[in-house]
Amino acid sequence: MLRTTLALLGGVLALAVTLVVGVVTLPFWLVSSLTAGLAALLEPASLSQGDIIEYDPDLGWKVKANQRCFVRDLAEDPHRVTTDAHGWRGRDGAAEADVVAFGDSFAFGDGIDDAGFFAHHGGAVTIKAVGAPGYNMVQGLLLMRRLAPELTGKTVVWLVYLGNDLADNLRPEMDGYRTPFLRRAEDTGSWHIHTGHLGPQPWTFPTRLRAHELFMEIATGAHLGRRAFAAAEHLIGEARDVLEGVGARLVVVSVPDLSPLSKRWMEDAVAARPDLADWDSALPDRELAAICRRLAVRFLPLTNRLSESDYRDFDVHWNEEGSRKVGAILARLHADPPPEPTEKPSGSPARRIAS
Amino acid sequence: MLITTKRRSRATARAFALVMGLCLGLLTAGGAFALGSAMWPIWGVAALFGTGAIGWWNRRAAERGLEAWNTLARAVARLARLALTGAAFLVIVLAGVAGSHLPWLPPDPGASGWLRRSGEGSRAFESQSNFSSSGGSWGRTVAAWARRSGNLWVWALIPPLLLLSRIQLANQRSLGGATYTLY
Repeated sequence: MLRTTLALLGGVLALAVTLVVGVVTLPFWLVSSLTAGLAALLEPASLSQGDIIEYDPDLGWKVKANQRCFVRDLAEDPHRVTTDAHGWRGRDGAAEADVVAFGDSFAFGDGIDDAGFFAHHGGAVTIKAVGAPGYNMVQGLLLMRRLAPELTGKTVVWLVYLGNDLADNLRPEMDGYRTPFLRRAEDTGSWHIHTGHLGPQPWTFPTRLRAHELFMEIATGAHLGRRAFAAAEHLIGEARDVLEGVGARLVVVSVPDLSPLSKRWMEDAVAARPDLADWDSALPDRELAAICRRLAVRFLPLTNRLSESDYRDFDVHWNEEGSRKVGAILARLHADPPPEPTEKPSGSPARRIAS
Repeated sequence: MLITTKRRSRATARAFALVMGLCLGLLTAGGAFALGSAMWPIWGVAALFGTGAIGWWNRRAAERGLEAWNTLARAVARLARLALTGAAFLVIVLAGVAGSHLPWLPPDPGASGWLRRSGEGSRAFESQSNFSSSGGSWGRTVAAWARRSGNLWVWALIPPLLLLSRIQLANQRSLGGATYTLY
């Protein structure tokens, strides 16, 4: 009886506290519930990125053709995506464009609505983007070879995302998708593109390191970096030869990773791996500039033209502001290209690297 | 009760702006009415559409507002959980003054998976006091157990614990029952 009486007293006090807490938290619950309910009503039916990707026997994968849909980005936010009859973003083909931009998810406009897509912000200069999420430079080169007859007289921009393209050129898979990659012959030292493993089955071996750690390792200039830049030099040299053959002008445009998200990742990586402490964020651009100088290819680093505010907070890609800015930069690039480097290569890139 | 909204989609930002517009509209209209203004509906509608329009067209502004709201919600949730936990402990302490009346009821032979290698269903792990839940809410289960076992004082714990279980942040979803961690 005593216990029940005391508990009753405690119960009354607890009930009073509960009521006060309930009243205080009720507005938050209402706002949260109403926001979630209303958001569900406002949100269009959407697909995941995997839903618009299909197997391609030459490239590993490509975006499905003639898509008119909403695709969810990394933050599960749907954005409108339109692809042409070949699966490239936008409606017009490469033949009608002044500038054709090859690349990965940046070229595809990952996370960006059609309205903010950089290729739609070239003003009088028409830009065609040819790329898909996750592509490496090997796939870019294969596409240049495939589209070469349509590229005559055009400015061809190769968007090289420093965050993972350099490392991805040497890897047989990207997030479980089998991808063409570069291998160097042990005996001759020459590079060749390997596609024998391509297929629709997922690649089951996990990646050793995450993309930003690979990038940082490359940026230390250690062994992986030397291999990555040698591979990039081979690919850029091949692209130059293909495009010179059809009278197109190649400009390599490096895309830095300035996103706040990557900044945090890299800080964490340095804390966890002391061997990455002396990585040099400017090294990839310096190496690419030197490569392009040797190959007499124009080079434009976006590092000094973009800032952290041009990137999304929760994703490594450009936000709409950054995307529009890049569209304007590429349009200016067509009208006023950077000067052609004067230094000419002494031999084929592959032979010179091997020596 | 999810106090915070974790998703950062455009639709979420817009929905939040509209809900805030609705709240501010109601508050403004109520305030204007209380002050005797005959224009209170206009004030309310202006606040609703003003706030809603800013958030609808300016995603960044809406997201910043949402983030600020979430920060406030997290702080309120922390305080609420502290208050409710304190209230629950107060009941236990007061009841404990009269001494313990929680009898030790070991499981019947064969009722626990710890004793038999063949294992039992999840019910076996819930029934160590020879009482099986009927699949309803835990509050009802506890209330029934308290009545059967003569621990009526436990009823006083139910309101604060019930609300405590509902104050859940978006990233603090509890695990379901019968979830085992394998070491």
